[in-house]
Amino acid sequence: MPGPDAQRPDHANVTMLLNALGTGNRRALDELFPVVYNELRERARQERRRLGGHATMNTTALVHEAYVKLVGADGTGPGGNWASRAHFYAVAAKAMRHIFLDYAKRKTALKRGGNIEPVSLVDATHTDPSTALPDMTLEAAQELLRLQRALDRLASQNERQARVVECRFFGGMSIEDTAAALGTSPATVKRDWTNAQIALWRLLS
Amino acid sequence: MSGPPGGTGSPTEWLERALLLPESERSVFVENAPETIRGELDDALSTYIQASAYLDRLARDLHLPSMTPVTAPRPHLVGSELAHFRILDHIGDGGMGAVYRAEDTRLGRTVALKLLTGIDAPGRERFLREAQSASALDHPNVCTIYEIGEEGGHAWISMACYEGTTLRGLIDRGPLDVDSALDIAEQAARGLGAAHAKGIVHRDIKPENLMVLPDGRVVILDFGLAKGAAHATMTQVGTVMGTAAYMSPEQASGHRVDHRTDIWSLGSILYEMLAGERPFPGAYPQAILYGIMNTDPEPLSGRRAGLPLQLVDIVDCTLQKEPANRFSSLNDMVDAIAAVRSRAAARSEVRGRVTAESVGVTAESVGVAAEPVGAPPSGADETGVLHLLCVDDEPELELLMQQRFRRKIRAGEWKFIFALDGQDALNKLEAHPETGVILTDLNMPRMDGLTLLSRLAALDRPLRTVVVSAYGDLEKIRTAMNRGAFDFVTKPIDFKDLETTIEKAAADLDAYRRALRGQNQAVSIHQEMDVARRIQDATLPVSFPDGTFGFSSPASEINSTFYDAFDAGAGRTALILGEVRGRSVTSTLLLTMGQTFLKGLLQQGVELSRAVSMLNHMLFADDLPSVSLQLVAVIVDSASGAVSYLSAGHQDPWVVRALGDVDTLDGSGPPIWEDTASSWSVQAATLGPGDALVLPSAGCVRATDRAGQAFSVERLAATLRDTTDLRPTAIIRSALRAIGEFADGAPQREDLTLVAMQREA
Repeated sequence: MPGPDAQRPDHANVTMLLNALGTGNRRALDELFPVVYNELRERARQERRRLGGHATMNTTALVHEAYVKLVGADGTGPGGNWASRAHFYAVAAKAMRHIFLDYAKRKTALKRGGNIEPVSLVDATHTDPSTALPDMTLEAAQELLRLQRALDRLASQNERQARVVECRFFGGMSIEDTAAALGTSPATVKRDWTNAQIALWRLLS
Repeated sequence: MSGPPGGTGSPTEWLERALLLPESERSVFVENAPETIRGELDDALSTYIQASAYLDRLARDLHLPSMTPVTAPRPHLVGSELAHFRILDHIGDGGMGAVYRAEDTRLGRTVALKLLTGIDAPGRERFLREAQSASALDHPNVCTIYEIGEEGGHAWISMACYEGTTLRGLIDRGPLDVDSALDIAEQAARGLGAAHAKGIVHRDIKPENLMVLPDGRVVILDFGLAKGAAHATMTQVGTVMGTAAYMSPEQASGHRVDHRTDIWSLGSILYEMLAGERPFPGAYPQAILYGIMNTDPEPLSGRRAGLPLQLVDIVDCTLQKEPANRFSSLNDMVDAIAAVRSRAAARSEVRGRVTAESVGVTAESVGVAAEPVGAPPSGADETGVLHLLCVDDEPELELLMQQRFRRKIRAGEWKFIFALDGQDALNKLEAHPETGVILTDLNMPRMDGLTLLSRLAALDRPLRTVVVSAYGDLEKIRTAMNRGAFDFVTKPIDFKDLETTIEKAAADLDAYRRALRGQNQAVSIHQEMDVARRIQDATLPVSFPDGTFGFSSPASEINSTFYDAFDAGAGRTALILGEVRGRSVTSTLLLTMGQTFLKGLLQQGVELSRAVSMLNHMLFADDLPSVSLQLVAVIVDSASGAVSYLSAGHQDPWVVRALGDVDTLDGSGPPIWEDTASSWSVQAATLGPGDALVLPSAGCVRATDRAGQAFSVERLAATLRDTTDLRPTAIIRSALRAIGEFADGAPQREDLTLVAMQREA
């Protein structure tokens, strides 16, 4: 996978993939995901460099900027319609989740004193994802891994609830954005969000 | 009421609706839900609250934005008027509303005004009802509620406005000294006990809700949140109770709570004050709650060494998962704390930090160190210079000292250093280990004198502190003395008086240092001995029946003694004194056991010689290494003065006649625990009106001076003969003084223990 600066993102291609995703083409996700993942991580890294290790990540702004870069200005580009923006956000939330997951794994692996496994979904040659994220304590990293496992189990019980958590927690998305991204109503997202939290807590306990 | 129409709907629908309501209204909402789903709803609501708190916390730790919508901004009330209040500033946010400092324009006083905003009628009604019940509590340790009312959609409560710090602030500075921790816990327990007596359970006791005033008084805040015990349910968990850390297991698991939940919470706080850490640590509420419900806290004794055993027991007893296993009431807890405190006072009496008013005896005055002291005397100045540290925020004290005591300074007798406040003083102490006497003001910025005293006590350094204060501060002076101040002088300063006080403090310090040196020359003490001492300490009596007294100055490794004076029924008083050779955990435990056993038998009216035989058999029945136990026991009939006594290989008891004669009561039984076949006979004597009976330990007679000479029976007899005041405290004091003067600081290896009684004249 080329670095983000090696090649200008192909707006048309990204838009096409987003549209394909909208029609239920799952393979589109496999192609889109690494692009979004790398873009987000690069933006996060720049942000971190700018703000330091302790500032709160403005995930919403991050995702929006990535969208502008990959799809075109403000969603007014060739394929920049509202639906593709929503799909993009859902993919971005998943990407953020994996960025965090990769970092947490590295963090805990480092602490165990073992070798750092190439855990990135995308490309092992990429730099440490931790440089892209604000400092994380070992406890937070371990807790994050627990949450990720619980989220996987939740997904097997109720896929939509798990995706709501992904969007809300990792994507920093509002109820409305989440509803748009998942193609459902805000009321349903709200209920899913409430029930998902209860279910997660019970899975964690 | 905002329930679903017709009162139907799935628990999920009910939950969603509950979540739309302000937190303060949810419990009423849940109580109005259909019976069939109420339990499930209650459970779902509390799970949701914990879950969202957990995710929020994790998001924060991962530097992710929070997903919880920010609660509606507080209305800008500062500067406005409400009813007859002028709102001055915002103090904080309590569980059910914001708290403001306000001026009561009718009475011209400053109050804390709690406002409940934007709440519907039922919620408001409940709020006011609860406040009403809390206002019925008139107790010095409960925040005073002045008035309750409603105005322009705001329900309000006006309360006393206290200047002070919350216990959270104190704990954040580090563990508290034992005395302060006990003082705070006892006061909080008294306040809570008063609430419980009226059927009010606080349910949210945490360090943030305990206010410590500058005079040391503790006030419990936020009683407005308490629900009547009969209505206690889980619905408000996480909303009202922001902190999971102090929740009881029954509260955490959503079961019905009663007053014993407060006992648990208070126990958690006591634990934290002593250990500096909460009993159930955890980075997330979930982990904390899991710990509360499923794990035992790390033993307090492991977190902080040297705590009195009964104190550890108290905390244990409050932190029992099963409410039935805790103290049944706060009164019981108060009693237990008071017992530890009076024992601690007795111990510090021995340690010489406080003048023992009851006996006027300190360990220094008898020339022995009371207990093993780990650190060498850090402040000892061999050149005879007294180093003084003056702590005052007003620079004038510095000038006055330098001027008034210039002769002493020039002659090199005294050396002064100065500090501006408590914190500065601690820093200066660090840099000047030679400091011996501290003069401190009480009112200072940053760290006041009372806090400084607590911190000094924790340093465990040989120091004497003299408090300089204004007359108006009697309450503070009392607190200062309780915290270990040696003496006080008042402002304006009488320099002659101050000089005398400083000399007195210096002399006391010298005696203490001599004792310490003696101690350091003694054989190094195994840690086990400390355990043994603590076991023994825990069983020695705290209070004595009228006309009796006992005192023990434990010395070192050679022996250990026990003593007791108690009511043996039927108008009789019993005195016992026993000792074993060798001090070890085993021997101390046996001694303790024997003491309890014998006391029990005598109190049940078992005849003296039979009781001792039974004790002998009991000791042999245990398959333990035999230690010879020497004992003397006396029973006095108060009305007739008839004395029956028994000696088991021990020093004879002494009788000091009111007319001046002194003699011993001869007894000659074998020691206990040497032979199962041993038997003892009881002998008789008579105590005349005003006569006194004294039981000294062998160590009293064998106390040695610097030349290695023993104090001897003769010297003891002479001392007792010269004593004119035959009250038990006086007689013990004069004996210990005589021994102390004789020993002149020489290290003692045996306990100096005495029990005495006087028959009414």
